[in-house]
Amino acid sequence: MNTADTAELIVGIDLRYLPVVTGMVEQSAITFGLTKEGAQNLCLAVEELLNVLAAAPGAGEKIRVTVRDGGYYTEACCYFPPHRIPVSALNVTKVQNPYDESVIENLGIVLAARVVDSLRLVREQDGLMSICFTMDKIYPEQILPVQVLPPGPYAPGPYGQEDIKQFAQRVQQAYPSVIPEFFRFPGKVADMVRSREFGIQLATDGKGNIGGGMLWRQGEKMIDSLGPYVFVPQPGLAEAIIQKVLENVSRKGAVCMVNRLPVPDVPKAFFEELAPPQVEDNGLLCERPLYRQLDEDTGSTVYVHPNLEPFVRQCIDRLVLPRNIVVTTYAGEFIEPHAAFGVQVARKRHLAILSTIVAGRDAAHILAQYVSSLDDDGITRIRFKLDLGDESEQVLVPALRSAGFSPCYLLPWGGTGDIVVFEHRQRQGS
Amino acid sequence: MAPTQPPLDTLVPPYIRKIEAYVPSKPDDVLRSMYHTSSLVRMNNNENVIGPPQKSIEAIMNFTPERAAIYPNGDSYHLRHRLSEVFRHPACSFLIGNGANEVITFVIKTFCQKGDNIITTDKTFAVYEWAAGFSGVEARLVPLKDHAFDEEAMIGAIDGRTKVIFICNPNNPTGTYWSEARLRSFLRRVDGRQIVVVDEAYAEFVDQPDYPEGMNLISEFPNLVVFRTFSKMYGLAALRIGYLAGNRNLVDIIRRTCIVYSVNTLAQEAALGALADDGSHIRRTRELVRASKEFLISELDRMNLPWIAGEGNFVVIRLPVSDTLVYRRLMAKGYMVRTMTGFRFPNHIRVTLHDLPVMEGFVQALRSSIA
Repeated sequence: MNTADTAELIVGIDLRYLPVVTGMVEQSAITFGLTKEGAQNLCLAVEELLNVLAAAPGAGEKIRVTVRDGGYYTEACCYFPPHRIPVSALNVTKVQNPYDESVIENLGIVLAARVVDSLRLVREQDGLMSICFTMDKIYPEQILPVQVLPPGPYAPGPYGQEDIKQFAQRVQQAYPSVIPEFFRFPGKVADMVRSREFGIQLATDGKGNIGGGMLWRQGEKMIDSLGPYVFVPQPGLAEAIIQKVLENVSRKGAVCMVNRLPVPDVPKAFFEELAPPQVEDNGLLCERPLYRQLDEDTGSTVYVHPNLEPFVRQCIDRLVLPRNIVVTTYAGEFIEPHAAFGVQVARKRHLAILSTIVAGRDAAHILAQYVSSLDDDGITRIRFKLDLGDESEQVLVPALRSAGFSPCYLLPWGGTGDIVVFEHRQRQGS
Repeated sequence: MAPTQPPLDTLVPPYIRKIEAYVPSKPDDVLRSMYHTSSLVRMNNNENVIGPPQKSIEAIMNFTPERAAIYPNGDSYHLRHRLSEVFRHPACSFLIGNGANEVITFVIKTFCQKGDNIITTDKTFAVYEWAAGFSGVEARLVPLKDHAFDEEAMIGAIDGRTKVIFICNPNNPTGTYWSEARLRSFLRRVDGRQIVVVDEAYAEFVDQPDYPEGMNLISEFPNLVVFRTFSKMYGLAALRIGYLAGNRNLVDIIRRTCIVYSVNTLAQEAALGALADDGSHIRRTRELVRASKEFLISELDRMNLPWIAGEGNFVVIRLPVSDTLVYRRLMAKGYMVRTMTGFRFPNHIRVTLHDLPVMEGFVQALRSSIA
């Protein structure tokens, strides 16, 4: 089945279909704009995964493979029954001994993760497991020669593709040290907006000059925003931009907006500080995101491990959040033997974000493996998102502590409920 | 084995998939518990703090529980006939609904199909836009001008697929209104090509000589539909009852989408009681609103907080901090207001006017919540 921007294939989990799958992935990826090399990397990742899946027992089961044109990237996703992949395989993060057969059988996943730009592993609502591999499209880097902007006035208004590219270039000039890398590629920013995964609001003078703007990623419940960036000394411009953005997003269903890379021009009146000041006093380097709720908070229940309770209470009191706090207690009940964690790696940002797939007894060991492996891969920031809306995750708190993670801040409504974002201590200063 | 899930991606129309369900607030007892407050003053829904008129109270008291077993009259026969006497239009010119929200959907379902659009403004009662969204109809949102509906821009937004134009008069939340001359001028320019809905939910709060009585224009403009509600001035919000009025030919068509039996007996009888009031309820309410509005505005001026206050039992306040943060702080102090981010007024709250002692407490709480 093909739609305008997605190709899909359903076949049995069987190596006989390997050429069919790889052919479809490669051709689709090229059609959707990847280079041949990029398409082959995507293909290799899917091929390695299929090798692992086919080695597991289970007759007549199928894998669904989709290749989607994300506008500025191409994504190949594989959906399969979770028992096809041993939990331990999900956590094999590096090869200690290549002659150890138990490692070799899971080597494919390791390879798969290394050849693509990002990897996302989630358990779908219908019970299937999905692994998505993403390859970014290649864009030329463009730096705008320094040009002084006319005084304006500038106001939020309509814009075109050239305006978006000018905005990206001016952001590079004005904020070179605190922005994501993609701003170096104006064509990519234009495609990010075209993909509708991102929204943008620009302030223009009506004569082709961009005085500022804001970019955001529209999630189902949460909006990740960047800016407002302003390039002219016009009082009130940043406020006008954020006001317009909030008007744009206020009825789109998201409950909150977070700005993880705030710049000095962000009007503080529109946001709340999430990270409590004393976290930095403890010597931990945390990101200090700004946050804004878009809806009235009418309350929820959070499940908290006793070790984390003081931190959570402090956050809840400081943010005046209506929360029922249920302190979890372990009373000998069954816990899965093996933990599994989803990981999103943004290799170019040297950032990895871990989250829970299965809370298991060997969590501390697995987390330590992740830290070591990511460290070897040059990942300098490792975060962990603990969902307080899921009571089963709270058993992980001691493991997180022992693996070197410390809580940084509570992000209201960041997951199924609030989440606590941990940062790995050993990363500081690296 | 787990049961097969229905294929929602093919069963659900795209326009339903892309809209979010409206999530109402939790009940007061739950909110009190969540925010650890022993009392909670509702200042969020523009309810009448005086309550219903005396005759409505009597109607409610006289409702014997045994009658709960009997279906209501399916089209609110007696209420329509009483409205006919009050407004001097035939009874068949009225359609009663389970709150004004229901009659909004009647109108959109009647006139709009895929590819059509409605026109309203960006900062007004959200249900026009919401009902259009779940009906697969485009809502064209014309920005307010000086906090009021901009007739020039609304005329400019009309195209061959525009079916309905919604005007909230006075507007919720800005309280601005179109005078009779302005409304007549707009209706003449539309020239009967589209349905013009004038939502008069707050009409009874307006005491201005140039405010139009939409009911009086129905005979002159057969494309005009007027909405009224018993939820605001008449204090019957819990019973959910509102109505529309229009040219009988128009209403005959709208009736085809009307859900019969949706208005319960208690609501119909309490509404009849409201219409029997001698005017004292409206006078008392207006006096309370006037006094507390004056008080609040003077206090806001002292606090250097900008405000928007027109007609209606509410005032909009601009805050120096996030409205959703102030909402939480005020809730913890026992005051529930409406955040305005959802109305596209970020960092504003809308406050329903109460009697003076409550307003004094609210002002104190607000002062400490923005510090």
